[in-house]
Amino acid sequence: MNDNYIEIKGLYKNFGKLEVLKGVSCNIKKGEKVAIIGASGSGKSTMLRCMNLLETPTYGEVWVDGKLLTPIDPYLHFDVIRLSKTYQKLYTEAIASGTSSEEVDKAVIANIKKNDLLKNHEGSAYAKAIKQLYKQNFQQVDLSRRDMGMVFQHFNLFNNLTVLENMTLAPVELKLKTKPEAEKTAMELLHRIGLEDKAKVYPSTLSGGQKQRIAIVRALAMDPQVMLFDEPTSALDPEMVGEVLDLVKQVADAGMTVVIVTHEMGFAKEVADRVLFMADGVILEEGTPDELFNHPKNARTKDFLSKVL
Amino acid sequence: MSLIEKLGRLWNLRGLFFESLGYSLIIAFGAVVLGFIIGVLLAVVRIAPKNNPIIKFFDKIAVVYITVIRGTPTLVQLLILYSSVLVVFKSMSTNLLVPIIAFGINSGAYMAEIIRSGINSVDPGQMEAGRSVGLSWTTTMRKIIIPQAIKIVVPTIFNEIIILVKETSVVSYIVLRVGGVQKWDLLGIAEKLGLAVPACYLVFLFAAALIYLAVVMLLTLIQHLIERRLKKNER
Repeated sequence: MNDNYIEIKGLYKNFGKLEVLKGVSCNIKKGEKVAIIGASGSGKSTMLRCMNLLETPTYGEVWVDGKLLTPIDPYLHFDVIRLSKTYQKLYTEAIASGTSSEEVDKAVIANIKKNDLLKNHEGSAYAKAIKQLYKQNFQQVDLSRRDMGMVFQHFNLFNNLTVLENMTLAPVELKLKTKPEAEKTAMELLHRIGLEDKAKVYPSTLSGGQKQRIAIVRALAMDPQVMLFDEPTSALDPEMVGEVLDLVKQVADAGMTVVIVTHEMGFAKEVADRVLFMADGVILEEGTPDELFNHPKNARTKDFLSKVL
Repeated sequence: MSLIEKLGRLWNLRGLFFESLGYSLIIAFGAVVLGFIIGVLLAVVRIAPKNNPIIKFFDKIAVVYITVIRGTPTLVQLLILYSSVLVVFKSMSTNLLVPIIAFGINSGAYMAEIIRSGINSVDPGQMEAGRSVGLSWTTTMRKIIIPQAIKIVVPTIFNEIIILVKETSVVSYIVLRVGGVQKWDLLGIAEKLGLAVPACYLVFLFAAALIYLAVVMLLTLIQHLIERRLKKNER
């Protein structure tokens, strides 16, 4: 086993003809704080939304806490490729020409991956291997989502429920807590952010900053393992950004695993252990905040930072 | 016959009018309930993610249903159902269900489109938020999306209900029976009385019109009360 909580492998995402993610892989360790930066349209939000499958990847796999959330992508499993008819045909052809078996194996796999040679019918051994891998590792995404809190740019509080109901709906509906238990937890969380007096009101009466802080504690009410923040301050009035970032920082400091897509470079620098810079659907550069902000290597990173800092 | 005399006679017939109003309302009420249930089911099928063949199949059926029902006149649908029932059952002592089902099926197609547009106008972020805390599509639909959609569609649904109440007047084309006895809806009784007393035909028609108007005004009042109540739940 490894200590990665979220693993993204070879992720592609197309919206119609538009390729938004073009082969992204990244791991998020338990307890790690990762900030994702990049220009709009670089795919950073899409990648975050793939982590809890709010977007379904076109190719690639998403693993959370050792569980597979997507179908098997055969190109990621060499053992499986080796069972395919295509591999066996190409391998036999190549080995006849006399090179060493290890090199042939590597070349054939690379060839298959590069040219997308796997077909629908690759023989029963291949089909069985995929089925077994899937059966062993797959978990319904709804279950994994309970452990992954998500905070949206536009808050997305449930408009037809009070603040308290917003926070208790999921734990009670999923039978994780009784109603009194859930309400107690919710009130404690509201107390922590100083909004207990808002428990009985509807979201439409709240300010943007209040909405976002409640959205954060709504996610926390599920006792998640990881929090995903999708530009949590982008839709806020400037004077409310501070209160929300303070709360995000508190969450991070409490030891929670945090992945945050943000335009707040100062905040990323302060809170993150690792920063990913995305452009054109790939991760171009990653490193500690010091490495990335003070000593960027990639020209695109330098260019981006010079514009936003 | 003076106008006063005519009105006096009309007042003596009030029992007949109210009985007929009762049948009109029973038919309208039954049709609204049936139409709403059909409408919600069709709308949910139309909106559900098409990731399994069963839902895809039902979606096709829903599309055909809505196209055919909205594409043919209510009166034609009523007469087709009424005649089919006559063919199958020969005679029924009570046939109130025939217009209820005919109008319900008809209204269901319209309600489906109203509810579908209501669901579509709820911010997609609401569904995402529901899914992100681990709730299923169905639970999020039931607890978050539908309640908000209902609020949006109340005025349009009431519009449909009002149209439906008035449209029940086409049942005067068929013979209503309750317990083996012929009965009339509101327009039906006005026409029947008009045949008996041609001099008062117009008065009977006006009487029926006034009663329809009163019912519709009452419905409008209920609509406003519901809207105000729902609005209160937001602040």
